[in-house]
This record gives sequence, C-alpha cells and structure tokens, in this order.
Amino acid sequence: MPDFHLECFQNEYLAEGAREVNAVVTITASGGGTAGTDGAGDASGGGSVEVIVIDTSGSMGGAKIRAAREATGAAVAAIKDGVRFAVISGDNTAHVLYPPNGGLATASTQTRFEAQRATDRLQASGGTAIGSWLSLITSIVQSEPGIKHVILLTDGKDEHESPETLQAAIEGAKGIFQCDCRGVGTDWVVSELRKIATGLLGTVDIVADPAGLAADFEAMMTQAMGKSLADVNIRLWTPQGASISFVKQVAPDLLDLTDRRVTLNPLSGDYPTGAWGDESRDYHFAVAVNPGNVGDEMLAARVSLVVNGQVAGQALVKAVWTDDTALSTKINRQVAHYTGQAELADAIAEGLEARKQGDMETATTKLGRAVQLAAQSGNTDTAKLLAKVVDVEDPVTGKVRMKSKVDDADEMTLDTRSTKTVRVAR
Amino acid sequence: MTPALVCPSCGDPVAEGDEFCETCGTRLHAPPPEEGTCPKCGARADQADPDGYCGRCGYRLARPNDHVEVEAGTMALVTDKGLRHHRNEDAGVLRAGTGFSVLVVCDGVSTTANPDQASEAAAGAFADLVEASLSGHDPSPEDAAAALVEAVAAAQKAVLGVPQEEPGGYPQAPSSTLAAAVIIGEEMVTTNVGDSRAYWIDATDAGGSRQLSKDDSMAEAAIAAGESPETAYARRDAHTITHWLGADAPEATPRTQASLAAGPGFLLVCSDGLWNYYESPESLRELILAGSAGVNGETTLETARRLVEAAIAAGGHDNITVALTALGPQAAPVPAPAPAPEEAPAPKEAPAPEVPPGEAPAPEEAPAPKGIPAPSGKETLPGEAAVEAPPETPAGVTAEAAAVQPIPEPSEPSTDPRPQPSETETKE
Repeated sequence: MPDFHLECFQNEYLAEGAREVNAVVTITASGGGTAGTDGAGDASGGGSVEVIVIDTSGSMGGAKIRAAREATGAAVAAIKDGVRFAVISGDNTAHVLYPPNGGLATASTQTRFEAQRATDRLQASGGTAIGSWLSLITSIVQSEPGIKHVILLTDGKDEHESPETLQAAIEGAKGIFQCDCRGVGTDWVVSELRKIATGLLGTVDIVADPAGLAADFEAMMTQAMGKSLADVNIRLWTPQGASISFVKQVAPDLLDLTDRRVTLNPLSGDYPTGAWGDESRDYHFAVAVNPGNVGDEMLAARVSLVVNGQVAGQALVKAVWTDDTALSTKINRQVAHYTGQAELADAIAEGLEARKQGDMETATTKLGRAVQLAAQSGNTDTAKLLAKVVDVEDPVTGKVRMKSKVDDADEMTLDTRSTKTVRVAR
Repeated sequence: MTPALVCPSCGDPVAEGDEFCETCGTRLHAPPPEEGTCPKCGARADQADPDGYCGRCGYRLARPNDHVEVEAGTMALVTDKGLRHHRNEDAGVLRAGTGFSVLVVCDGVSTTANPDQASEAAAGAFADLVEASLSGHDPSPEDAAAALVEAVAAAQKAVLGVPQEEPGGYPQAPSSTLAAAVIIGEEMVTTNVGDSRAYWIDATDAGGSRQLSKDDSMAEAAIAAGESPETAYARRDAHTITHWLGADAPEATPRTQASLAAGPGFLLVCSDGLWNYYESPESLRELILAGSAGVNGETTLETARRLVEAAIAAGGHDNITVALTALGPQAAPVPAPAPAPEEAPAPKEAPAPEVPPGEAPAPEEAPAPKGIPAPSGKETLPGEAAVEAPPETPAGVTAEAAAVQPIPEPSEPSTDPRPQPSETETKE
C-alpha cells in the first residue's frame, strides 16, 4: 500500500466575524509501486478489471473505426497478465466482443492475442445509446473485486436513448467503475461525455484526429495499470454548526465532489476519489464555520484519507480569529491560485456558451477574462487553446477579439480541456 | 481603586452586573466550565480529539504553554497568552547558577512561521549558553557581557533551526525578539534584540527606576534621528521592530548594558504584552510596589502574576511574559546616617514582611518592599543590607526620602553601534 502524505495550505487567520475557511490540501501517494507486476491486483486483495468499449455506430465508419481497432489493440497490449478484461462493441445496444462467451477474460499472451484478433472484427453500423453500454459493463464488473476501469470511445451524440436513461446508467455505475471518456472527431457532445467522466471519476478528452487514438489509448491503459489502490475516500470532519461550501479536486484537473458526500454522521462524510497510483492531487475545501472571538482557534476541518476503512493520513484545517489585519489579509497562494483556476474554467465554459448563443459581447468578455487568468497563473496549455478561439491583443488586461472563423476541433478542445489546471509554481 | 471590569473574551470594559458584553456579546457570568469539558460548547473531555481540539465544536483546548509559572531561586517568571491571541508565542527561561542568575524573555514575531517555536528555541539556547559560559568560576560582569553577546548568537542559531514552513504557509522566516539579564551580585548586565525590555525598578527611590534596554524599533530609530519621543511613538510604524532573531534578520552585534542595582528593587524583563500597557518605569514601579507594600506582602511569583493579570485587565491584547527578580541592597556605603535599627519603632502599618529565612534582612530592619531577598549571589550578607534606608520609611510610600545610592548612569561597555535600520528590513 502506498504511503499517503497530506499537506495543508491555507491562511488560517480570519478577521473578526469572518466564517469562510479555505484550504488546499495536497495528497501525495508514493511507494505503492504499480498494480502488481503480475496484474494480480491491488493491495486490497482484489484483482483489477479493464473494459474497453468502442462506439460502433454507423458514423464511425472509415478512418475512425480503423483507428479504433488499432487503438484497442494497443490498449489490450498494455494490459498486464492476470488483469480481468473485456472488449465491448457499443451501438444501439452493447455486446461483448471479447471474450467470445461474454463476461471477462484473464489477461495472458494468449488472451491478449485473441482479443486483438476479435478487435479486428469491429464493424460500424447502428446508432448510439451510451447508457446501454454502461449498464452492460456494470452488470459484468459489479461483483468483481479490485480496481475497475473503463475506457470509452465515441464519436457522436447519445441520440438513441433518452438523457434520463443515460443519467440512470451513470448513477448505476457510480462506485462500481471509473470511466475515462474519449471523443473522436467533432460530432460528439462535450457536456455528455463530461457528465459521464465526472460521475465516474474519470477524465474526458478529445482526439480530433483519429491518427492520435492509438497512442492515447496506450497511455491511458499504462496509467490505469499504475493504479494500485481502489476506493480511496476523503473523510471530512467539520465542527458542529459548520456548513461545507464545496469540496473540489483542483489538480490535475477540476472535479467537483461536493455532491458526492456519503454522510457518516452529522459531523463527518466521505468523498470518493477513485483509484490511486503513485501520484499527487490537490483538493480545495471551503467550509463556513460559526465565527469565534478574537483569539479563538478552531479546527475548521479534519481531512482524512481513508483506504479500506483505515485512516492513511490526515491534515488539519484551522481557523484563528485575529484583529491583526497583517495576518488576516494575507492571501494563501495555493488557495488564490486554485480559486483562479476554477474561475478560468468557468469563464471558458460561459464564454463558449455565449458564443454558441450568438452573444459575442459576453463571449468576448468571458474569454478575455479567461485569457487573462491563464496568463496570470501560467496555464500555458489553456492559453494556447484560447488563442485558437480568440485573437489576443493583450493577455495582461485580457483584451481579445473573437475570431471570425474558429475550427470546430479547436473550440471542442478548449471546451474539453478547460478543466485542466496547473499547479502553483514553487 | 476598584479595578476596571473587562470582558474576558474581547477585553472591552464592562459594567458590574452586566450579563452580556456589549461589544462582543459574550455571556459574562456564565458558569465556569466543568473540569474536563470544552469551555466553548461544554462537550465532554472524552470528545476531545488527539490534536487538542474539541471533537464537537472544534474549539482549541488549552495548550500547556497558555499560562506557565516558574520559580528559580529568587526569580519568578509568568507567561500568558493573553486574551486576543490564539496561542502563546512568548517564551521565557530562568536559570539560577552559582554566583549568577539569568532571566530571558523572547517574543515570537506573529507574522512569521512558527513564532512560538522560534521564541522557545531562542530562550532555551540563550540560557544554556550563558549558564555554560558563567558556571564553574566566579564570573565578573565583564564575563557576563561577553557571555550575553555569545548567547545572542546562539539564540540566533537556534531560531535558524526552527522549521521554515508551517501549515499556514507563511513564507517569512521564523523570528523572535529577546531581552535578557544576568545578575551578578548587584550588577545587572542586560541585552536585547527587538522590543522586549528590561527595567530596573527602584523600590526606594521613586525617580530611580529606569528602562535598561533600548528597543530596536522604528520609534527609537526616529528618536535617534532627532524626532521627539512624542512624535516618534505616534508614528504608525512606531512598534515595527528593526532587529530580530531569524534567518532574515539584519546583521548586528548585540549591545549590552551594565547597570548597578544600588538599592533594593526589582529587575524586570518583559515582552511588549506588558509594557504596551505599562510603558514608563514609573508606572511599572507603581504597579509592582502596589502589592509588595500590601499588608501580607507577596512572593516574587505573586508579584509577577499580578503584573500579568494587570496587563490582561488592561486588555490583554498580546501575549504577556514577565520575568522578575527582587534585588536586595548590597553593602553600598550609605551617606546619610540612619538611626540604629533597634531604636526605631517599627511602623505599625507596615508589619513584618515574610521573606525566606537567611536571605534577607531582619523584618524590622527592612523598610523596603516585600519579597526582595538578595539574589542567590555570592555576596549575600544579610547584615549589610539593613542599613540602606531609614526604618521609618515604609516601602514605596516615602521611599524618595530614603538615602540610597542612586543607580549610576549607564555605561555601555561593549557598545557596538548598529547600522541604521533600513525601511525594508523591519517586522511588525
């Protein structure tokens, strides 16, 4: 089991009467190794499960389905011996392409070879009903122990089922498996895949050019193989009278966990964080507490990391009331930075939405603000993506002009990656 | 005079009989918290978490150094976190050696990382070095001055060892002030860095009390540059310190000050939590003697405690640390002939003080304030101390009339002019 180290960044000093406590907690896992070199799974004693689901709707024909075959083959090749896996073909319904009798196969030289052969039989025909894919996966993997991870590829809108069906499928899969979503081409809907990825603690990204798919799948599978610990929860204790404003993962990307709370008792609740390998993530906590008197100190939150029911590390978030403005007006760099990163993501989302609605004035203002925030925080990747959507006149003031013609792929890439954050330069 | 009532929570004045503080709304006559319960919400002690917080309301439960009282030889030290700070960032150490005594007070700078650890490390390292340096021989005041300079360097080094980061994430290097005194017989050798202070409080001569230390502050810098003390102390940055112990401290050779405790009195070393309310030597003298001249007298510890309580009653805005020792008169020649002690009727209003046997003059011969035994120095000769003041002089009342040796003007044996403070190198 990896060692977890939690580090808290905050300004605990509050002015008299203030009640909002903000803290960024960096959680770093190290020494966990990978998911067992034999693929026998994580330290919790379970195995691990990988499912690749490929959209085989009619629109996938041609270059996209060829790229999908190649990418699936590359991903299968990266699966470690002993990992239980399946390849699923999804259109109006879903069916297991490999193993031939359904269920899961155990990875070995033989089964990986067979799976790659089967992958070559992927054919594009039919519609898109992603909820039905998720439901099939849930039924296959839910009784399996260990880390359960899904790679989902689609190229189009989820148009052959109702949004409610998709939502119900996501709800049914929560806590069962994690799902990384990829959209190939530009005909899919960012908000749909984001909803799946957010609900299932995964990532979402665009692969605009099918030629890039194989490398992306292989990288995703390799990263998944590096996870050694399933079901890690953040347990948050807050004092009586406190209310939780939000709990967010803020690095490597934004993921709002506020509504994911599983209440344990009136003062404590758990938030899921999915599987962990050797990695580091940042979380932003905002808690409103009953204001104390000047000179009072309060534990505003206790952040514990719970692995298999055991506390693997913790950090204390404090509140100290002072009338010394030199203390209370200091702004913690990490908190300010991630507040800015969240605002950056919001500004992009709102700017792109306004642009879609034809409200160019709002779009220019929001995307200009985004350009400014990206420049200030050193988020150069996002700054580059923004520059493909707007002409930047001055990144310092955020003065921009809307481009008259924007490539769909560029707009979708900006939309998809707007939640990518950078860490504070130390 | 009845002491002014203040709210225990915010320090603002309240009237007797008020049920709530009008400033902060704290209930004034709430029943005292039951032993072992959270003073904020009343949760049982078994709900406290292992980190020292109430498991229900999160309130920080008492820390061991919130209030500390120490006695060593004839010295006493009381430190308290006060009313408006969440922790005690002051620290103090007393050491009673053979032939010398050491008193150290350090005040961690709040706006830096781990100031509580900085002050504790500084005070401990300072006292250790002085003790090691002066033990095993009959130290002279010159030895003491040299030891103080070395000890400041040791304290500086100790502060450098304090973790630079604390969870709050303050980038400023841990920092502390320091004020200290070594007493050898009637010689007091003091040093200071920052705005913690040392005072000589003359028990008999009302005009004889003086501040022995000199603040390293913007106010003092302004005075040195020609401003009047009134305007200098009215500056916004008057209390900003220009020297401190810490990684980012400006380089300076510490100044030492040798002074003679020629009469009965007190050496006081304190943090600004006290002198912010009692700044002048006269006000401190009045405060100290108010108790010593009382009917039953008090120990040095009781006096120190009373000073801390006075600062709290005045608002208790900062942490308060008081290190105090009573110094008895040494065999200084007394110019004015005094009546023979046995012929003088003892003043009825001033009954015999209670002093530890063998450390002080006989009661009827001691008109000086109570609780002023000689330090555990090498030349404590009870008989010699008795002739300092006329017996009809009740302590602290007509002490001006007492024929005592005035404290000499300060000589500064190892003064090293420090660089003028620069505007950029200051701390609030």
